[in-house]
Amino acid sequence: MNVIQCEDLTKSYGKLKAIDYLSIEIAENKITGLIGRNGSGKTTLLKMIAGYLKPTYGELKVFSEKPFNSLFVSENSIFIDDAMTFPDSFTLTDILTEVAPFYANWSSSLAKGLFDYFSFNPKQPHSNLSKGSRSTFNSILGIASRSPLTIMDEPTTGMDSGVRKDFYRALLRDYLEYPRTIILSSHLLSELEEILEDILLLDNGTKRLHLPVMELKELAVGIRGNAQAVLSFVEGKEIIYQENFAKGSLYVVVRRKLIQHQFEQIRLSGLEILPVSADDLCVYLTAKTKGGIDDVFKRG
Amino acid sequence: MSSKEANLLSISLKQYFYKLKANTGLLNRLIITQIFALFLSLVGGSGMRSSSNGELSVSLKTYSASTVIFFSLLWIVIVAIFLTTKQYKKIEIPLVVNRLSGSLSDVGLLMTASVFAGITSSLAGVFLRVIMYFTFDRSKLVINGFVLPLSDLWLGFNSCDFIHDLNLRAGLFYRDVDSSEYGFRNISSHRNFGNSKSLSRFFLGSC
Amino acid sequence: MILNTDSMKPLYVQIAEWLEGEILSENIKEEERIYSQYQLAEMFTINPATAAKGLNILADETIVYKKRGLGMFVSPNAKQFILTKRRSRILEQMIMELVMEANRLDVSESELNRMIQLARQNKEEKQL
Repeated sequence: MNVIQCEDLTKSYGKLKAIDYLSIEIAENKITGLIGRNGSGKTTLLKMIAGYLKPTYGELKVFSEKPFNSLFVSENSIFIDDAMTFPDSFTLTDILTEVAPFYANWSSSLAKGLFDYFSFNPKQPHSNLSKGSRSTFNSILGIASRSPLTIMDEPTTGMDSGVRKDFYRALLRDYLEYPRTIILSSHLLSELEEILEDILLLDNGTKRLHLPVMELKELAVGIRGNAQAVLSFVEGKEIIYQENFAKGSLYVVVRRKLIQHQFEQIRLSGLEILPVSADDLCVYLTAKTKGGIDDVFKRG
Repeated sequence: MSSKEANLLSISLKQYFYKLKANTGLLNRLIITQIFALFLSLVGGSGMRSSSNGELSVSLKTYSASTVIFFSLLWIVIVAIFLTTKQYKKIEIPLVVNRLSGSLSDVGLLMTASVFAGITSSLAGVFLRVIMYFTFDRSKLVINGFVLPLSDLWLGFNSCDFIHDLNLRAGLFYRDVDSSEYGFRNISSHRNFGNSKSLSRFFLGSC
Repeated sequence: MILNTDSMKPLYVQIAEWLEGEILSENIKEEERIYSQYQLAEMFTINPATAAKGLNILADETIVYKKRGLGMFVSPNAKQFILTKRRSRILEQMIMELVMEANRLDVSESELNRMIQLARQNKEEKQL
C-alpha cells in the first residue's frame, strides 16, 4: 500500500518552481530519508504531504486522499519542524498533556520517559528553549505521537551528537515496536543512513534518486591513482565526479555497474578502488559544477 | 458520511478546549477592561437627561451597565480580530486541524467569551448599583431593581456573535485562500453558523 | 560504532559475517533459532530491512533455513559449511592480496614465506 503517491506534482511561487513535476510513491511503514541541498524543495514537499501547502499542479494523494485541508490526513499524520509554536502560557508538560488527545496512538508513558531522560524542566515555556533543546522536545512529540505518518523536517537541528544518537535509537526502537511510515529530512545523511530503508534525493524540485539505502551505497565506486591509468579505465563512461588532488593523480567516481568486471585489472594496475559513501554520492550527484568549489580558487 | 461529521465535531471540540486553555490570559484583560469601564460609568453615568419647566428643573442621570457592555464589546472585537491573526493561527499547527474545524473551534471560543463577557458585564451593572446604593446620597436615587436584566445578557451575547461573523467576513476580503505558509484561510466554512447568520442577515442584508 | 560504515563491505554483508562468526563460535548452535531481523535491527541500530538482507544471504547459502511462522533456524552442519567456505573464499582472497602486495613491494617468495612463519611464531608467543 502506498501511503504517499504523487504524479507530476508541481509547486510554483510565481516563476520559481519549488517542486517540478515530481512523481513518487512511498510505501507503508518504511523509514525514508529525504535528502537534498538547501533549496532543493524538501520542506516544500513535506509541507504539501502534510497538507499545509496546496499543490499548484499535479496529483498528490496521502492515504488515498488529497492532504490539503483534509482532517483525515491531519489525524493520521504529524509534521515536526523547528517552527512549531505553542501557546505562551503552556509549560512543556502542559504541551504534552494538551496535544495528546489529538493523536489516537499517543503514548504518554513514552513521552514522559523521553522527557525525563532528556532532563527537561517541566515548568519551562516552549519559547525559552535553546535550539537544540527545542529540536529534542519537538522530536519527543513526533516519536510519542506514534502517528501512522510521521514527518520530521530536519529534526536534529542544533542537537549535539550524543543527543542525536539517542534520537535515532529512540526513533528506531519505537518504530520496531510500533511500525509506521516515517519521513525524515536531514543534512547529516552519514549518521542517519543506518536507520533508513529508502532514500529520496531531490535536486531543484525534481527526483534525482529514489532507492533503498543499500543500493545507493553500492551505486558508485571511486578509483584513485595515476591519472592516466584512471582515465584509461573510465574512458567513455559517465563520470559522476572527478578531482585532481595531487600532481598526476586523479580521483574519479563512476557507477559500479559500468566498471565492476574490471576490478581485478584495476587493482593490478596499482589503482585503488574505494567505496563512495551515500553522503558524498548525493553531493556529487547534485553538484552545480563538475569540479566543485575549487573552481572558485582556480582563477588567478 | 455521518462518521466524518461526528469526527469533525469531536476534533473541533478538542481544539476548542485546547484554545480555551491556551487563551486564559484574555480573561484577565476582560476583567481589567470591565473594572475600568465600571469606574468610568460611576464617574460619568450612562446617560443624562434634564428638563426644566421654568420654576422646576429636573436632571436625571442614568446609571446602567451599558458602558461596561460597550467596553466588553470592544474587548470581544479585539479578541475576534486577534483570532484571525497568523500569530494565533500558528498554535493550530501541531494539532489535528482543517479550516472548518479551526473556524468551528474559534466560534466556540468566541461564543464562550461572549457569554462570559455578557454575564460579567451584566453582573457589573448590578455591582455598580450596589456601589451606588452604599456610596451615593440615597435620597437622590431612583432604583430600578437589582435584578439581573436578561436583556443585557442577551444583548451582550448576540452582539458578540455578530461582531465575530463580521470579522470573519472582513477576513475574507483581505486574506488569500492559500497564504504562502499555512492553508488556514477560510472562505466558506462560516456558512454553517446558525445564530450569527440570522443576526447578520438582520443587520447587513443578504450574504 | 559496532559496524563499519566506511568499509567497502555493505552493512548487510557485515551482519551476515557477524552471524557466521556467532555460528562458528557456537554462540548460536545448530537447529537453534537465529536472531530475527528486528532483533538485529535493535542490536545494531540499523534498519530491519538491512538486517533482513543479511539474513537472506545466509538463507540463500542454506546456512540458515526458514520455519514458517517460527523464524529462521541454523541449518545442521552450518558450522562446517562456514569453515569450508571461509577457508576457500576468504582465506584464498587474502592470500591473493598478500601475493599481489608482496609483488608490488618486490618481496620474493622465500622472503614472504619467512614473514609468514615469523608472524605465526609471534602469535604463538603472545598466546603463551
